[in-house]
Order: sequence, then C-alpha cells, then structure tokens
Amino acid sequence: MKIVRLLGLPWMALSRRWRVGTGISFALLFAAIPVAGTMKWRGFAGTPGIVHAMATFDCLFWALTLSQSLLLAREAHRLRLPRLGRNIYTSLILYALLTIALPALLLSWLGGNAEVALTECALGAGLGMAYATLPAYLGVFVCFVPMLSDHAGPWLPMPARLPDGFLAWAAPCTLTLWLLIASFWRSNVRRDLGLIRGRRPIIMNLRMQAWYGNTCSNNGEVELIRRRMRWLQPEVDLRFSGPGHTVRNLRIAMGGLGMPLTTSSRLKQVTIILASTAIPLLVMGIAWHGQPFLSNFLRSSELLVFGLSLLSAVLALAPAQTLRHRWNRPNAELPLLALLPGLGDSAEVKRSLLQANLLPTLSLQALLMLAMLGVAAAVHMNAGIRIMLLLGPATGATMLTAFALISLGGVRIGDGRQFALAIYGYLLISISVLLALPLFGSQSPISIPGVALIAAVAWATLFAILLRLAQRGWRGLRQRPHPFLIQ
Amino acid sequence: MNAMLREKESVAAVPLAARGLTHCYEGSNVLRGVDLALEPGSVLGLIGRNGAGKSTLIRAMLGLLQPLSGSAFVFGEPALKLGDDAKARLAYVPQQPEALAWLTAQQMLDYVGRFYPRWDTEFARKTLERWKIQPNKLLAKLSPGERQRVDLIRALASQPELLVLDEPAAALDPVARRELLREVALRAGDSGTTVLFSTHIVSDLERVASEIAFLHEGHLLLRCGVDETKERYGRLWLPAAKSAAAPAQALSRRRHDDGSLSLVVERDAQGRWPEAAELPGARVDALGLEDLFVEIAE
Amino acid sequence: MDASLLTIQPNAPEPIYRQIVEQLRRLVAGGQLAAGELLPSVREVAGFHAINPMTVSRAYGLAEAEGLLERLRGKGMAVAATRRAGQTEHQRLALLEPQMVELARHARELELPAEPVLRRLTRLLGD
Repeated sequence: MKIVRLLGLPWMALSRRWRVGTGISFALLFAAIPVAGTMKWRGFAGTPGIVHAMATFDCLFWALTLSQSLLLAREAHRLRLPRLGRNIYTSLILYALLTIALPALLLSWLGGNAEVALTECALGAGLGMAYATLPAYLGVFVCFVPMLSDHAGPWLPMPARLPDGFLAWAAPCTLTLWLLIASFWRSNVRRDLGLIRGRRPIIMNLRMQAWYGNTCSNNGEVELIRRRMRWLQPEVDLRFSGPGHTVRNLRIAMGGLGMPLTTSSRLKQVTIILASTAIPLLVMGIAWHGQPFLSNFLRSSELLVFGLSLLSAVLALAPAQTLRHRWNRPNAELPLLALLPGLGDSAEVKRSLLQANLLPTLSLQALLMLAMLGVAAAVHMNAGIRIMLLLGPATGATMLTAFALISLGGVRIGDGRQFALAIYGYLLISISVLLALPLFGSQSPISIPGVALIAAVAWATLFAILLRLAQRGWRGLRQRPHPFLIQ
Repeated sequence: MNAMLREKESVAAVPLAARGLTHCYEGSNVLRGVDLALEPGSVLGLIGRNGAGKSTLIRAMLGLLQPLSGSAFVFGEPALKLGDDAKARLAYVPQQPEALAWLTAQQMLDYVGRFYPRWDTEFARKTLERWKIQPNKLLAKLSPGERQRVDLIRALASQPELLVLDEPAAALDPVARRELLREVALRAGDSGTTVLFSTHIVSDLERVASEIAFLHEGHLLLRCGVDETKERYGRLWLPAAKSAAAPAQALSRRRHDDGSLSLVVERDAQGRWPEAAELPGARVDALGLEDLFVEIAE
Repeated sequence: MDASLLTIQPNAPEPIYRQIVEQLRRLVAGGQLAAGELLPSVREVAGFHAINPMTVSRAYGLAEAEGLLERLRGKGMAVAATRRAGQTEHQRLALLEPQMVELARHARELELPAEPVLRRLTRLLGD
C-alpha cells in the first residue's frame, strides 16, 4: 500500500464535510507553529516554546482526527477485514513518526533537547488520544490537564525551566498513558456491540448521537427520557387537569420545562440543578485555592450581570426548539390534542397555548432580569449600562415569542436560518454588553459614536427580523382553523 | 327547505365523509380528488401501497391537516372545526403513536380519560393487564408495539362511535394483531362502532372489514363490499391467439411474454363474465383480495 | 356445536360468509349436526375467528333462507327440525357439484378420456 493511501486512512472515518474542515484547520495551525516560533510571538521564543506548541497541536490532532481510526478498526474487526486492521495500525505508527519523532529530531537539530521534545509531543498526542478513545469517565479528566500545567508549576517541574525534572515524571507517565490507550483500544475493537454507556469512548457516543439525530423524527427527546434514570425523570402532577383547566392541560401535553410537577419532584429537580452548578464551582475553588483569580471572578459584579443578561436570552432557545419539534411530529401530540374534547373553542385554545408555552419561560426571564437589575443597582452601575443589560432579557423574550409564533402559526423557516438568527442575537448581546461594561479602562467603548451607530443598526436589524417573524406567525395562527394542524 | 333539512340530517348521520380531497407535499400530489363516505356501523379497510396517501387521506378526513381543496365532515361537522361533542365520539390512533412520551401509561390514560364523558376506566385497567403492559413504565421506555397497544387502549376506552386506525397492525405481533382485530370486530357488532382502518396487510382486512377502498396514487380505484369484491372480480386469461377478443372494459391488463393476456374483469348485472370468457382456451380464475390488489396496483 | 368446528380462510378467493354456509351444509348433510342442535351465537363465532359479526349473520341468514337453520325464539339459531340427517341422494349429490365440475375441467385439460378417470374414481370410492 502506498504511503499516501496509508496517511489518508484515518480520514476515511470522517464525513466529507468534516474531512475538508478539519484538514484545512490543522494545515493552518501547523503552518502557524514555525511562523509563531520565528516571529517570537508572545514568548514563543526558543525551542521550548515551539515544542509546547507542537505538543498542543498533537493533542488536538490526535483527539479530533486520528482517534477516528478506532471506529474504522472496529468496523474492520466486525467485517473480518484483517488487512484493513493491519493497515490502520501501520498508518497510526506512520503518523506517530511524523507528528512526534520527526519534530523532536528537527528540534534537536535546531539545538533543542531531543528527549524533552519527544516526551512532550508523545504526552500531548497521548492526552488527545486518551480523551477520545478512553471510556468517557476517564476521558474527561484530560480536560483538566491545561489547568494542571498552569497552576501546578510550583510543585511539578515543567520542561522550560527544569528539563531533567520534567523527564523524570513525564516519561513514565507518557508510557503508562499509551499502554492504557492500547489496552482500551484493543477491548473496544474486539467487543462487538452493547458497550455500556459510561464505558463507551467519547467518539462512539458522538457517533451514536449523530445516528439518532438523523434517523428519528423525535429529535432524541424520547431517547433522552429512555436513557435517563427513573428517579431523575420529572414526575407530572395531574391534579387540576381535565376540562376547564385549558392552560394546565396544555402544559402537561407540551411536556418540557413548563410541565406541572409534584412538589417532591419539583424539589428534587431544583436540588439537582443546584448540585450540578455547585459541584463545578467547588472543584474550581479547590483547584484555584489561594489564587486571586477566583476571588476576583466571584467578586466581579460585571461578569455576573453579563452572565445573567446572556442567560435570560439563551433561555429562549430550548423551549422554542421543543415547540418546533412538537409541531413537526405528525403522530405525536398534535393529533391527540386536535381531537381531544373539552379543551375549549379554537380561539381559547390558541390563547391558552401561547400562555402555556410562553409564560413559564417569560417569568423565569423576568426573575433573572430582576436579579440582574438588583445587582446593577447595588454596585451603582450607570443608566447606559443598565439599558444595555436590559437588551438581553428583551431579546430573549422577543426571540421566544417570535419562534413560538412561527411554530404555532405554521410559518416555514429553515432550521439553519433560525439557528443563525439565534447566534446573531447572542453574539450581539455579548459584544454590546462587554463593550458597555468598563472592563477596559474607565470609558466604555460603546460610547464612541461610530461604535454606537453600528450597534444601533445591528440591534434594529435583529428586532426588525424578529418582529416580522412574530407578525407572520401571529397572522398564520389566527388564520388557522385550529392550532394543531399538521404541516 | 324540507329537502335541505333532510339532506343535513342525512349528512349528520354519516360518521365520516370526504368530498374532492386534494393535497400535495412539496409539489407532488398525494391526493387527487378523493370522495369517500362511511355508513354507520361499517368497517372500512383502506388499502394501498406504501406512500399511496393513506395516512394523508385519514389526516385530511379528520381535519388534522388542511387540504389544498375539498372538504371533510365528521358526524356532519366540518372536520377542521370540530365541536367537543363530535370529538368525544371519535377516536384516532396514528401510525406509530409517540405522544406524551414523558408520562407513564397509567398517567397518560388518567390524563386523557378526564376529557371523555364515556371513559371506561375498568376496561383500560383490565386491558393493560391482559396485554401485559406495566402501567408505571414511561411511554418512552415501551417498545413500539407496546406503545401502539397503549394508544389502542386509549382509543377503545373512550367508547367511540367512530374509530379511525392508521396502520394499526404494523408494529404488532401476530397474537396481538389477532386480539386487536377481535376487539374491532366485536365493537362493530356490539355497539355499532363505525371503523376506518388503513393497512397494507390484506388478510387483516379480509377478516374484519365489511368494505374496502383501494387507494392508488392518490385516486380511489375501487370501493365496494369485501364479499362482493371477491365474487364480482376475477382474472380472465386469454391465449395469444384470442387476445384480440379481449373486452375493452378491464381494471388491469397485462400481456405476458408469450403473447397471452391477463385481465381483471367484472361480472355484469346478471352475474355473467364478459363474453370472451366463453372462448375456447380462455379461463376465469377467482381472485383473492391480495391477488386483486397486486394485479391492480402493479 | 362449538365455533371452533368452523374453519375460516380469510385470504381464500371465496367470501367468508360462503365458506361458513358451505361448511354448515356439509355438516348438516353429513349428520355431524343433528336437527335441533343449537349453533354458536354470531358474537361467539365472530369473536373466536376475529371476523366481522355482520359476515356471520349474513351466513346464518342465508342458511336460514335455505331452510338449513331456523331461528328459535330466545335461544338463537338451531339446525332446522324439518331437516333429516339423511337428505335425498339428489340433494347430497348437488353438494358435490362444484368439485365434480372442477375435476371434469382438469380431466379435459389433461386430455384424458372419461373411462380411466371413472375407473380410478370408482376405486377411490371403494366399491
């Protein structure tokens, strides 16, 4: 087999679009390393900087591209194609020579430390590979490694300062890591089917999701409930439902966040949310113990209000998306609700439907807005900043209403266009609020006339599009004989 | 005036009716002017190949989608604007039902049952037990067949006067399918329930349907009683030498490689086959519904 | 009589109601069903075979019109009392008519003369 074909093999496991995208990005990244090295950009001076950059590149490259060979190797094993299996290993060894051994050789030729370069590149590539191919519960730990390199400096020798000390711990670690990868690789390739979810490597999880997403009409929501453990599942409260309680009936039938829950279930959900936000904070607290960064972060009211503002806008997306999926499924809730007696006449149902779908999220957004304004008032932010901050909840509420109305009114708009609009909105909020905050000195950049004008035009465009969509949806909804029509 | 009143009454007596229904998806026509009406107490089997437009026809007849043109009526009311009374008398089970996946089977039946005045709680409980479905399991965690059975229980427990089932047997195993057919047959006999069901499994239809309607490429090709269909249509085979004498009227016509001809022909009012059947060498074979379906749909 | 005594083939070209009537005729003619014996109710037959009750009533109605069955008040359908188990030879022969027509057709298609066919038939009948 020709070398070129061997080198192309790992890319076969990627979809065409991914192949082109990642190929170009990695080529650019790779080209940037020597450029950065020669230009001495941000302390990249000297070989240790280049080695570090090369190791990072290896980490990304092995994690995102070469790890995909695992999927190929599994297929080869399952389809009994031993030659393909052998070729995959040959190609990985070839890549190891190219991305680990060759740079080390070149750097030693340039006057660097060959052993350190070899170890660091091998460690980088190993971490990338470990993230993708080890079971997910082990793989995630790789994400903490950058933190380690930033903050473990005092007690862990780093290559730039203590090359020998670094080699003493890094070489055995790297060897162990690669042995671990090899053993899990072997078992992953041989096990035919039915890996338990937690033990599946991350790349295989991603593959599963892509598969479900493409073939099932119910967008993985059902799949999510199916996989969720029973005690995590919200328990519906059926009291006060039935004829005469239209809004509550519809909240039950719409599911999702607005569904009425029993008190114990509600408490459980709140506990889960609090715990899942508290634990990362705790981990960060332990990791950055004694560092000024954490206290600065927690004390920074600017970041807090910015977060609240953005969050109240982002909240719109999930319910809007849920509603969109509900109205795209012809065999689910639509026919049931369309033919259910006792929901009230068409006008009442339309009104109640808007209430049931908008009110829970809108009230949550209002709560966030009040909290945000409270913080802003407590630290005496000026009126300009407050207005900028208010744009977050305002965008969120408008986006939610517009997206809900186009779903309910049967206005057809592509998934991609809706998503692009949401991204545009969120970028606009982030940029505007950050520009309004006095983060970069005393004067906020938004008060520069030119910037303000551009921002105003951008905001006007966003709201014009959203309001136009809302209007079209509202007209569609009013014209429909009943709101549960299948497209 | 009187005549109009009488016509209105007769329309109200018809559980389900469609006039000139036309619909299209993304430019291709799915329904091309379908007229269909169900007599009270009849069991109509709607048959057609996959993609013939059965589901679309059913949805349009129940007002679940807005057809391009034409109109549909349920108990005399326009299908797109049904009142609570008509809705309470109607039950529909979609193909592969997936509604309310976040509720358990029991919760779903409790919830839906509140809306129907004649809801039979006892029937729902017993049938869940008989069909071995755990009432406390989330609907999302049931298999497609179990999910379909829960939805069938939901439909039957409301004691409907009109039961509409879209491919009810597709996800069921043979035993469950037979049980469903039995339930449908007995409902029709005992309470005079009108049933419309679509299927591509012909033997199901032959058991319980009193009438069949063939939907082919958006047209209703054939609409008559199951027994009459079997008695009235046959396959006439003519040898090559006599193929010129083939009757002009035939539902389908196929020429074989050796020049001989197969035609689906119909008896006349006196119950006689076309004259060509008397020719020497000609043969008339009785046709099962499945054969008839294949001959026509091919 | 039990509903299981009937066999139903839904996908046969012959309509189900005809299949039932035909079987009733044979059962009565053969003496398996005695005069006055009660038939299973329409619901029982329909439930057992998962077929439309209207088909069963149609079959019963036809058999009643033929004089094969009679309706007993409050009890349902029964084999007609006037029916003797032994019908006239002519009547019983009439029941074989469709099969004989079919046999004759096959014989003609195979270009067999009548004599060997009759000889074989006689031997089959065991006389």
